Amino acid sequence: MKDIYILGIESSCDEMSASIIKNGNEEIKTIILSQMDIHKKYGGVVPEIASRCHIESATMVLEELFSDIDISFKDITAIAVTHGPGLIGSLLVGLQIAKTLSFVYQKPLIPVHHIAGHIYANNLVKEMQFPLLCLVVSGGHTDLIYMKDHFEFEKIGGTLDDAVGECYDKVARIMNIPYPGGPVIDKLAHKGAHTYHLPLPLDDDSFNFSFSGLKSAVINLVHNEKQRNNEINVENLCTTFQDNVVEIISKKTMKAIQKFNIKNLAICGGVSANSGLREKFEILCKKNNINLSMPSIKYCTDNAAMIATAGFFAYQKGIKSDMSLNAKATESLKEYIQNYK
Amino acid sequence: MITLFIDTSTSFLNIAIFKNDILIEKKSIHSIEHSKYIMSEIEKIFKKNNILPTDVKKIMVTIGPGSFTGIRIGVTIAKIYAWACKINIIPISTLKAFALSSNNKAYYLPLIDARRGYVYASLFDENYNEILKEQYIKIDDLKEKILKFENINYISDEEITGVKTELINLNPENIFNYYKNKSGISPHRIIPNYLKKTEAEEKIGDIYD
Repeated sequence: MKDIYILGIESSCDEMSASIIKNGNEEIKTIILSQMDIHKKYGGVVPEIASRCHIESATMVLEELFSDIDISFKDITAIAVTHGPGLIGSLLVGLQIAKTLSFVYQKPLIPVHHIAGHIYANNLVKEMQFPLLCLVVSGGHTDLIYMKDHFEFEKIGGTLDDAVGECYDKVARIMNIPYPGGPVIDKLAHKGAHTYHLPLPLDDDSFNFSFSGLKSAVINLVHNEKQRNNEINVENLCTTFQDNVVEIISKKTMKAIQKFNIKNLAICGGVSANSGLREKFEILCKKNNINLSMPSIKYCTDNAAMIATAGFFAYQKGIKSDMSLNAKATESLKEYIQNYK
Repeated sequence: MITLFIDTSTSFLNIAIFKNDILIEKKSIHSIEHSKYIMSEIEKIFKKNNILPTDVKKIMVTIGPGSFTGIRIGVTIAKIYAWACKINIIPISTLKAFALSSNNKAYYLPLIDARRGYVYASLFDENYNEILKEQYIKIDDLKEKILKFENINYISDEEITGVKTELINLNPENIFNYYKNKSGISPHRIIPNYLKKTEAEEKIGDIYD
């Protein structure tokens, strides 16, 4: 069989990334340009600044990608791009890059849903086995997705309010931890002890999540302690908070695994880099004989390697678009499959 | 030799193709989704005129001011296209493009609505020399600044509250003829000219501080 090389482009938030993946599992080269340091001083991603940075780096990222490799554009089979969901201004830059390359080089254009991308980051670690339960945890998502086969997504649960990563960032702000707060909370959580009392959010029979109540509980706790002139032990509060987050996520995930009788679990998204979460699932999956897959740390956050990987399987499934492809700030996986298959 | 002209800075999407010095085809579409139409239209025009994507040897693009998102659509396409074909880009001020598109001989005062009583504006003499540097300015302040000039022709492609403007569409032929002998610059060096910082930068400071 002829080798298939997919060029992936990802720019849905504050990372501009391009990658070439061979046959859906072999990484040729990936460039990721993060704007983390730029957005830090604003306390979070500023969409207009992200878009402005993307366009400035656009040609440089491609130039860097194709330098010092034996692959040229004529070897590329198709171009995969994140068309949504994400920040519309950011998405639009990556989308124009992909469409222009597709036109100039006359290569097929494959729209890739951002969450499908995150899920397929797992295929770069080991071949995905089906049926598969995917836990998507990031700044914008907390979803449980059931997959019978490649590119068959069925959402069985999700957050009703804040995404888990969003909750981390907001809780970090309350504790005066600078943006991005998630990784810092994770680090501090390993140093403290579970001494505070916080609720286990939405501890019910559904597969849905809710994190705004937990966030409010942290706000109230910090506020009350301040009023009583008690100092907050940040490390202990981080431990308590993270314990509860990991507890509820793992509890519901394992319940879904049981209910649907699944043997394979894939975790993905920015929060899958959280060591507390990774450790918990490693223990639980070992104990319950579940085949667990997690992306390598560098591919937990946004990157084009996962988009090119998902693009390979999308290409096999006949997902493609003409030049009228537009960016979508919001789009469910279901709508995505309906629109482009 | 094929030259591709694109402009996405306002609510009109403008595309034109020139072969040597002759306009082959031009298209102007009023839209709020330039991203959806621009590449499809370019593809259609190329097919109809038997032009291959790689036949393009020069790209002219308006780099702003105008809609931030809009400018980025055209400029990103121009940059990537030029990078892929190893050709140069001729960056064009959207305001100057408007001045060049008017046929009234006078002082040209192109205006682009920047909302909340502000405009992007500059003043050109009849030889298209910039007399008033392009800027983001309150329409009332602008009027004061240009009191000493007579015979001013306000130009825009949409109605702007508080001024009587000559409503025009960009004229790609005029623009092409003005810039056709320029050799252009490398796509890496092309960036949009927003004329305005983001609100976050205005409050907290520049990203490169």
